[in-house]
Amino acid sequence: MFSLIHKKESAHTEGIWSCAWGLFNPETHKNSEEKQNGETQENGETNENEENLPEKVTQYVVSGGLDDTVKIWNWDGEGVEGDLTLLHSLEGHSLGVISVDVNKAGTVAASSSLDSTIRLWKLHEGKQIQSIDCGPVEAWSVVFSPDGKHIASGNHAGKINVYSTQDGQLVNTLDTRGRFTYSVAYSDDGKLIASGAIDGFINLFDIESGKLVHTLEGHAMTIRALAFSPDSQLLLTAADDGHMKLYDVKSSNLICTLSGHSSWVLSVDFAPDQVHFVSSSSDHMVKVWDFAQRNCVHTFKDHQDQVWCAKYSKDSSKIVSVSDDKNVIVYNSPV
Amino acid sequence: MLIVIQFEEIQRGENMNLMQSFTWKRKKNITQKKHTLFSVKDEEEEELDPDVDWLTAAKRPKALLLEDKISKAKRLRDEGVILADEERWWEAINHWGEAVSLIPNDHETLDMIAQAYMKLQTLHRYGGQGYQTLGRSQLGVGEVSLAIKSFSKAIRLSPDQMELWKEDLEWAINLREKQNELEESDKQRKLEVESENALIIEELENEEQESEFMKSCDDKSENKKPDEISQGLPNDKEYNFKYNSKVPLVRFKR
Repeated sequence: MFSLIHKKESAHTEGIWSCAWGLFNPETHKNSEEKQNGETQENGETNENEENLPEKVTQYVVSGGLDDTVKIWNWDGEGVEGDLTLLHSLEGHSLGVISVDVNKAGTVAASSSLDSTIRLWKLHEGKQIQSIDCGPVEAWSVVFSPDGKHIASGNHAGKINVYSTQDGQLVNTLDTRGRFTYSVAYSDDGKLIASGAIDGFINLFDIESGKLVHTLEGHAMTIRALAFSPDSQLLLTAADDGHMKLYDVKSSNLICTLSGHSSWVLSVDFAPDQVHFVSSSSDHMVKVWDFAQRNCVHTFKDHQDQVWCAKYSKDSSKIVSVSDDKNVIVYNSPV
Repeated sequence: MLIVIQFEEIQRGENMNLMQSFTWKRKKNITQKKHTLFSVKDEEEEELDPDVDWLTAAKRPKALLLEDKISKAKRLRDEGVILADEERWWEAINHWGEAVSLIPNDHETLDMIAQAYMKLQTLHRYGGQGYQTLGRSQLGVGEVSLAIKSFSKAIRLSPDQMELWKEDLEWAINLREKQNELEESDKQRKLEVESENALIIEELENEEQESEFMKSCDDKSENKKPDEISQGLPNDKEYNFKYNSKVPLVRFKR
């Protein structure tokens, strides 16, 4: 059953613009850490980090908005019950927070702001690790690469800047030669990066070679969000024309166009099990779509203002959405 | 027949003449009234020809030709109210915006602007423009932090408008910084003044103490004088010396 599990009212003092799930699993973390230790010889540092990590599986929700703060919430719930408790309220940005993301390991959160900085935070401790000053109008939506080593953000000149999460240095720039890059997405296999521009152009880059693979022009309006399917075969785009489009990544063919929202589609996200995907819109609605049938299976009408972001949890069973009405809502989505 | 026709022609001609002169005058008034009511274009005309008050569509007396800021703002406000009654929100907002630019601290008008925006509700459909206008009017009344929020919202919706980044937001942030600086310097000044006051008070207290001390000294000396005099010669010399040394000073002062 699709249902509302928890509604956090007035989670921020102003409208909320972005959200993300984070999942920390101590066992998988240990394994990956050991692997890393085998490769690199930074035993001291990683061990120090480990001491400050939680001992049990922890689910985080990160939100950021117009009130300049990034908030880290702990999602504590089983089945169709649960509660959001505030862990940290992070201050540092001097202007509104445009986008937030969490790395796959569930240890670090990244946030980008109108003040043109990208900041990295430790999820568990709520401490700032890094502040990257990108220069005027250089930071917009921010995403982690699947391996967590890089973060990418689009800029006003149509470029995608890739920064290292270790030292915050600019390591790569991909030029779309287009206009303002509004949205960026990594494919799960880490091979491709997609960007959506304000004028509706979609660019696909091969990360290794840094070459432009495809340019798609399906929408004539701002691409507010992009998402690769978990198997990295398909790309889902959302735009101001109220439609979503599904593209085949290899051939760049349009597979289908999905309509249902009566206004701008502001965000899309795939469930990791690839059964569903979710979209949110400025018509105040959150819609859940069936991937195989390619139709809308449920519509949530619980927000009173435009819904800037909706994301699937890592276990595909929950959806979180944030809106200009200052509320954070967690929904149940049957697996 | 001919005569009649000619007479009619003459009459018609006369009438025509009369009508022409008459209608020409009336037409001017009517068209101006229509224009000012219904289209933006005529606001320019209105500016060119401020003799006509479109609310009454009558020529204004010459004495009122020089419309001062306050009455113009009031007129614009009233016009905005009429437009708002007809649910022509954007036009109303434009009128009020102009009124606010004339009298920046008019809270009532700003409230009305905000209400009109609330009525529009679908502000985001107009992209950043609505919030940009709102932010600018908020800057006009000195609500800098509110303006920053509005500009931020505008940028969130349409970030490619460089004007919003480079002019509006940057300007508002500069203003906020200056405001903070001013507040801080105000605080510092207050502190300085307070510390100065404290110093002055201390000095005054010291002076008081000193004067009291002096007084007590004087009192003592005064009290001592008769004793000293009565006590006899050895102290007389001293007393005379003191007395003599004081005299030239007094003379010099005079």
